[in-house]
Amino acid sequence: MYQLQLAQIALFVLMGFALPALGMILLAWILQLMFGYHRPSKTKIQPYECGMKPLQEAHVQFDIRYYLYALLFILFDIEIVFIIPWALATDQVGKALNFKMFGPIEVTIFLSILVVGLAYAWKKGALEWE
Amino acid sequence: MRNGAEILKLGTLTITWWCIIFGAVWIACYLVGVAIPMLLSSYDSDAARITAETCRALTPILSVLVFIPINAMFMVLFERRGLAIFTVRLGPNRVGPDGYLQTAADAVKLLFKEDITPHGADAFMFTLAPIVFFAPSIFGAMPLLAAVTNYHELFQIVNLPTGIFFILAASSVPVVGIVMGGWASNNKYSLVGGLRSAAQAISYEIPLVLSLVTICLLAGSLDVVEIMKQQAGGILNWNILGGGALRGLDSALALKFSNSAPALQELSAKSFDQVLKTAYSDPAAAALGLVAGQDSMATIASIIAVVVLMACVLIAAGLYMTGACAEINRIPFDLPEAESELVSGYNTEYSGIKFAIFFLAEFTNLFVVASIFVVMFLGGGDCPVPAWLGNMLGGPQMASAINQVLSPLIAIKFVDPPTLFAAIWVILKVYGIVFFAVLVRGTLPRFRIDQLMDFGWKRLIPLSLIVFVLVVFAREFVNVHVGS
Repeated sequence: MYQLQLAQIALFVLMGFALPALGMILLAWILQLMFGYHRPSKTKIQPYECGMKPLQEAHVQFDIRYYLYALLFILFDIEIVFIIPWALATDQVGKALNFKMFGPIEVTIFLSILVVGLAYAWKKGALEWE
Repeated sequence: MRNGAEILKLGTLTITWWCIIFGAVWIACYLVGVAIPMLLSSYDSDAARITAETCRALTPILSVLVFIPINAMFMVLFERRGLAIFTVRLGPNRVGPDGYLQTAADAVKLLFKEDITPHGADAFMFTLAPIVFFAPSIFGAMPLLAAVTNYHELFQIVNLPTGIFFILAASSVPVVGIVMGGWASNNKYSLVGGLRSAAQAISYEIPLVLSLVTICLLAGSLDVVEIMKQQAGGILNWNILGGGALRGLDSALALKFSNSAPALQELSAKSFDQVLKTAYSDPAAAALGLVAGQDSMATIASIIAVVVLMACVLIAAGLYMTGACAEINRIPFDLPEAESELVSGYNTEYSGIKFAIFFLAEFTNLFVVASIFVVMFLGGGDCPVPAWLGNMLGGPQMASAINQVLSPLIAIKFVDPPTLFAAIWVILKVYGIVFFAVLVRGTLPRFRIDQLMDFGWKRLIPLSLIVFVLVVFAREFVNVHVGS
């Protein structure tokens, strides 16, 4: 059952990627072969820039402004990855230790560390989009 | 008056298209999942058995595949007609009877359009981007299948113990496709669109996930089917009303309204205590106990806990919808494809079938997030009428009458009544959410990018953390004071 399920998931993920790809390739190619409608010209394949000639390539170095946001995001995402098992196990842990408030106190400490970090970043201006 | 007529027209359109969608998916699943294995079962050979098993295993995938294109076609039409009503105009009403076939015609047009790769584009990435964008909407919906079909045997196999985790993992993949498409197009608008999309996705993912984790904490499970099963039995049990805080109220009412005389006899202070001590459903029942004249510390604490829980879960639902709208780039968060400033952003350069795939995936994503909302907060395929009320209104008689009518179809295993009703309820609720999304689109203007980031990081994330901690303590408070 377990292996079958894994196989099913793998099949699903594979199909998810394969089917649009296949559909795209088959449909586009077959239709284009049938109707022969593929006549790119120089002006047609120009990148769109409101009718002007494109000034330069778009593949340039650019400033990703949300570098700090991305760093904070990784922190919070890891936090969530830790919280999910906590949410499922907290009752058993409380029962095993015979101290029901253990889980909530634990997660409050954990979250408060993160909140202090967020407040610090906020105060330092990391959350300002310039 | 005109609006009333338009809404009626939208209703007829919706029902017609639902029949088409339902019919297509149902017949495809029946043929592959039931009819072929039944035919093959008369042959006693290994090859026949393997073929039958393969057919059964492929049914969930087939159902998704048949469902996605037809459903997306209808959703586009639904959205355009809905928007037309909200902005007081007619909307598409020319192609086919009253515009019913507008999007089908659009799809055909897109298939025949010339497929252009812009000059200087990274052709491989340019082709891969729509695929990466579309794929998660196929496999991300997988754990939901078992839930929305009322765990029909054919769909049980795709039921994961960590369903929500899988869905969340899948839901962060499409943004990779957007960034790829934006970068590979060699177009400045696309590049900016792709970058904005990444910034937006990382800001709104945290409130979205935290609101879902809140529900998982209340349910004690990550399994979609498990969460849905807990909500079975009417609107009072749904997670949106206090995450199951009212479940005790429901069982108390069921006791009160059950027709059998012995059960009525049991309705004494003692049985209330018993209801009180059943599970974490107690708070609401405890409130009822207070009304019945039983005062105790536990009762008052429970009432406070129930109020806190209900408020928190409502906020969590709002956070989920906001985060989900941002994740799938819907108005008011459609900065990556803002038509008026970025000429539709990351898909500026796309045409023909690649654009069609982007378009299809966008609407399928809307459907998927709406169905996650339905399964997590609105009880999935559960009928909103509680069992005790249904019994009073003659529910069992109606059910048996329907069974009578459908009996020839049930005999050939074409119809499974629980699956049928679950599917109908799910689609009704999901389209309710979709209608809400269309209403939001017709109402709100677009955010500015700095406002968007501020709103995400300075409002939603702190709010979601507060909600989470409040839920943790309210839940524990109930557990300690009422005792399980």
